[in-house]
Amino acid sequence: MKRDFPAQQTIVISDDLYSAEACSSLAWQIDNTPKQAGETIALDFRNVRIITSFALRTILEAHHQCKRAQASISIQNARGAVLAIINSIRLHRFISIGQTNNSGKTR
Amino acid sequence: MYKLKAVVIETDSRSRIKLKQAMAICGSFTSPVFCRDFTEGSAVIHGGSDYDVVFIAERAGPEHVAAFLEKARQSPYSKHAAYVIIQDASQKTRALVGAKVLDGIHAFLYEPYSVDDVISIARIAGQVKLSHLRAREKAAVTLVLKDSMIQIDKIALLQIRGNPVERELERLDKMCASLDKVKTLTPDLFGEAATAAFAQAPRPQSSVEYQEYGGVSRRVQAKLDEK
Repeated sequence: MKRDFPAQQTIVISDDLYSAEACSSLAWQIDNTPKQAGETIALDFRNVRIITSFALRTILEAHHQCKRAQASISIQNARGAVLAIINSIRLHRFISIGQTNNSGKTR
Repeated sequence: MYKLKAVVIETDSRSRIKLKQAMAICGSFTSPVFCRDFTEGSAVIHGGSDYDVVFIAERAGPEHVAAFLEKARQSPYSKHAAYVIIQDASQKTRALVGAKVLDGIHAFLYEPYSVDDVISIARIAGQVKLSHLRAREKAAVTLVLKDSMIQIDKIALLQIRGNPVERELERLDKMCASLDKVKTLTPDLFGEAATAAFAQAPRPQSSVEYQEYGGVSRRVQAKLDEK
């Protein structure tokens, strides 16, 4: 029997997010990912160890873009300090956080 | 149901009794304080109790009303209150209403009034209270978020330098735990405050500027040695 899963696109963030260049690259990737209603944009943080307030600004902007498109945003594979920071500032209240079985490939 | 704390400044005794009865029937106010003049009114609003709504009868003269309003808005106990002018319906003109709204008046109670009119005033006062509460809570959330941004960047810097961050993460957690105390913190309110706060996040420095501090420069070291 065929089962329908909600569509998910994964953006793998390849660098620590402490340099302006890395944050700009993340913003560029998010801006250029088409967002559709009902879809989830998963930000894969498996390679991210360091996060700055400037990077969180980019994530908040991504959240607004997704909301406008009636899509949702999800943070995947965030570990240690990154997850602790996101949990602390209560971003998890409106950005879902979870582990993914997705191999991390960008569709 | 929350009952509004009201203070009424009314020089006419008959009108005071009438309003007292209407407020009692309305049931939205808790033991309103009635003052005979602005001197008494000033003493009450600076007396140490918070007020949600201030009724001011305009028969005492617009200049007295304006002077009282200025004092009332400076009082910590009534600065967030809703201000209601009681006046004769014959004085109702668009220009006058416009001028009073610009003076910060939230509503008008025109004589002769009914209990329904007083109920409408209570509703408006409740909305004013809620909007002030929301604005205050948003300001508090913004303050916490601005402090947390500094802490997040401090943690990032410690990580770059390879220093332990556990204690700083705990501090961040404690700092942000106060967000849970905000009773009306909805995702929308948090979203608005977070977007405004993080929009001011500083651009990270280039990685060269993150290099470990290696002590004072040779020039400063030479000066220190001289001393």
